[in-house]
Amino acid sequence: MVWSPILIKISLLIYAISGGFYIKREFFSDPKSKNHWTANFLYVGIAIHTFGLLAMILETGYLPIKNLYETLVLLSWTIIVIYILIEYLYKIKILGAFILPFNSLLLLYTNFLPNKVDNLPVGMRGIWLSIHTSVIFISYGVFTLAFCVSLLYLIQEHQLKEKKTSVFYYRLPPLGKLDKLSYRLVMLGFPLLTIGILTGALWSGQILGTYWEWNSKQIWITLVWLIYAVYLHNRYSDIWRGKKSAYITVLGFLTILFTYLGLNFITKNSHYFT
Amino acid sequence: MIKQITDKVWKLAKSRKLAIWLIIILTLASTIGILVPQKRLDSKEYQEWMLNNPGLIKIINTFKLNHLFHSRWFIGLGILFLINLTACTIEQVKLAIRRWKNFEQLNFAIKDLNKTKEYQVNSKLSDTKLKMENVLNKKRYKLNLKNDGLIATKYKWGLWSSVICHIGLIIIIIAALSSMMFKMYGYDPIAEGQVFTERHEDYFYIEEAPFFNEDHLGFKATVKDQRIIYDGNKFDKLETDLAIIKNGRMIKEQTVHKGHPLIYKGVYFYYDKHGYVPLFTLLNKDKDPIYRSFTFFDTIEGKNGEEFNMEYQFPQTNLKIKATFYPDFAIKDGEYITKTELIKNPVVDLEVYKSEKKIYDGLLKQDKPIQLGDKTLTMGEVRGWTGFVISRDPGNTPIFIGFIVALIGMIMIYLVNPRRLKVEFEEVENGTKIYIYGKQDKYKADFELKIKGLVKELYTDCHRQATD
Repeated sequence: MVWSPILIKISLLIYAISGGFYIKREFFSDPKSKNHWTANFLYVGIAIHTFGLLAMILETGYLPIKNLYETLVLLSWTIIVIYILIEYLYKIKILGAFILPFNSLLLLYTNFLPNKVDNLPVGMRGIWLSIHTSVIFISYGVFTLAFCVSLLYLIQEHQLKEKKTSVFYYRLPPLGKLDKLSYRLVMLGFPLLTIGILTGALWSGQILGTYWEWNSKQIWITLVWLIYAVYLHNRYSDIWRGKKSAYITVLGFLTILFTYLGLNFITKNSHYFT
Repeated sequence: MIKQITDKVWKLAKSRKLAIWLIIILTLASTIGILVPQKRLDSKEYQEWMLNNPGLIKIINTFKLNHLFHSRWFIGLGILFLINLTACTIEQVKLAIRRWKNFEQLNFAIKDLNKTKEYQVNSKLSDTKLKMENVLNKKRYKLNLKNDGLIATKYKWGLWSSVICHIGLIIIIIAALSSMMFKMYGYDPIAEGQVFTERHEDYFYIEEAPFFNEDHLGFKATVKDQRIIYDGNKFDKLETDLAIIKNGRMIKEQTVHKGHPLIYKGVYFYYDKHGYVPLFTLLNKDKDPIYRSFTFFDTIEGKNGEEFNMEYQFPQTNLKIKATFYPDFAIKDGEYITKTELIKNPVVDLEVYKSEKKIYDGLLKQDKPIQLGDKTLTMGEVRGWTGFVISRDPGNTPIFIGFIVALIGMIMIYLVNPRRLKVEFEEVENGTKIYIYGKQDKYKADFELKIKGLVKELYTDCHRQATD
């Protein structure tokens, strides 16, 4: 019996319920109220998701990198793990009300994707590709969270500027905290993305005889890298902070989304596994 | 006047705006390169696209949009980007040198104070000074003693981290540009026993960068053997014994498989795909051979995995064949399949046309001749072929070096934080007052903690001394 799809579906259900609890707590009741169910559901969800991921690795014999289904399951897992860390370290629980529904949609999408348990093609074996794909998806997960934090920043900033307060105003963390968190997340995601791109090039050189094929994925991921490099460069030089930084993070994430999912609909590319 | 012009050019070369514009232009150009099929990627797709877009042919040819990433104007943009990055890096080097020189200067340290701490211990000035020196030495700070105090520095070399990272990126871009300008990239299928010469006209497909210089190395290559490896009942990989021959002597032999190329004098042989070459013999009515040759079946991705197909017109005849090869033939649910890729029961599913009229549709088994009018066709020995991507790329090694340098620089940016402290002492009635100033560009909160730790250690030491 193949267990991984069942476990992934259960975790999806639990994330959806947990997301509902987060929304209820953050927007419809007192966020300071001790609603243990909210976090407990999330922990159960991530535990089952982890088992699902492990089962997938055991069933196939390789890391989940072969196709869109596998990489989405890995991406979704990364997002939740990093979110749990942020919640623990920064106590920003409102983020869960955005992250969990988004993550549930991501996992829901995997239900419509083909997933055949089969041998990993010869061309996809090797340590560089395993590192490349897993590191890239971890970085995507980190950038997704940076995007959500920047979105919260922009909402809060807009409210302050317009002097119109809504339910969000009192529940969102201060601007400085959001700005710093988003910066730290980009700082974490950027080296991961760099390592991912470099190991991908090494893998391509080893398998295809060329480090760079100029295919659509490679070009767009370089653009993603450049966007975040410009962000960090300007941030480091104290040129961009706050709103400008938040916009760049949003732009970076939209470019990631297009690179990861959008490109497959537009061009035929050799990154058939994503 | 000249100085003004050079200053302006330099200002432009190092400007951030130029970098952003170049990135935008390179991205737009690359997007065109994605939308317009490139010649080398898939010639069929390219030809179809050109047929469907006749109005664009002139623009495409003028700007070489179908060969964009090796076109001179794209390389030119890459060179501009390299100049921009180099100019920015030179500015960074200047800044790093300036900071390096001023790192221990008293005024500089005071002027840029981020945090100032004031403490008091109850030991004498000379003892406190000594203790402070000991504590800082233990923490591996480099000390510069002054009359009124001391300056302690650590990780000064971290000032170069950004420069190192940029140098890595410059090496990568130089390597990429040299690949775009001087690389050779070709493909050739070699059958078992066949000898391949490295002369470029003998390649099945070859692409030479605009400045590639063809200097013949005078070697030949031959496939001595190839083996299909199975993992249980699933195809695992193909191993090919490839040999390099020079002046009639075998000088190198290696088993090549996916990810394990043979390298000879900078020429890389990578496994790409494999297939079969059965020996076809066509005899006329007098049983004289009209055609006798190993004939390549191309390997394509079919609905049930790999398929081995070919279309061929026998020379000097009006016979044309369309064929699919099954190395281990079987019939499943009325469909022809191959059980494995091993040559166990080779069969060809054959259609023969004579002047466009189908004259045969059936199976051709090994050593079982079939009659095609007055001619006889036989399939004899079956051998395998391996398709090699053959490349010679001067950018190969530098790009690898560039990766490593850029990574080292990036790791340094993140983990190595140059820090400096200025410590001043003042003798007071019941002890010594210590003023600590410090500066660290990143992770300031962490630096605060470190200063607190130092003082705590100093207090402990002074207290221990007092107790003694």
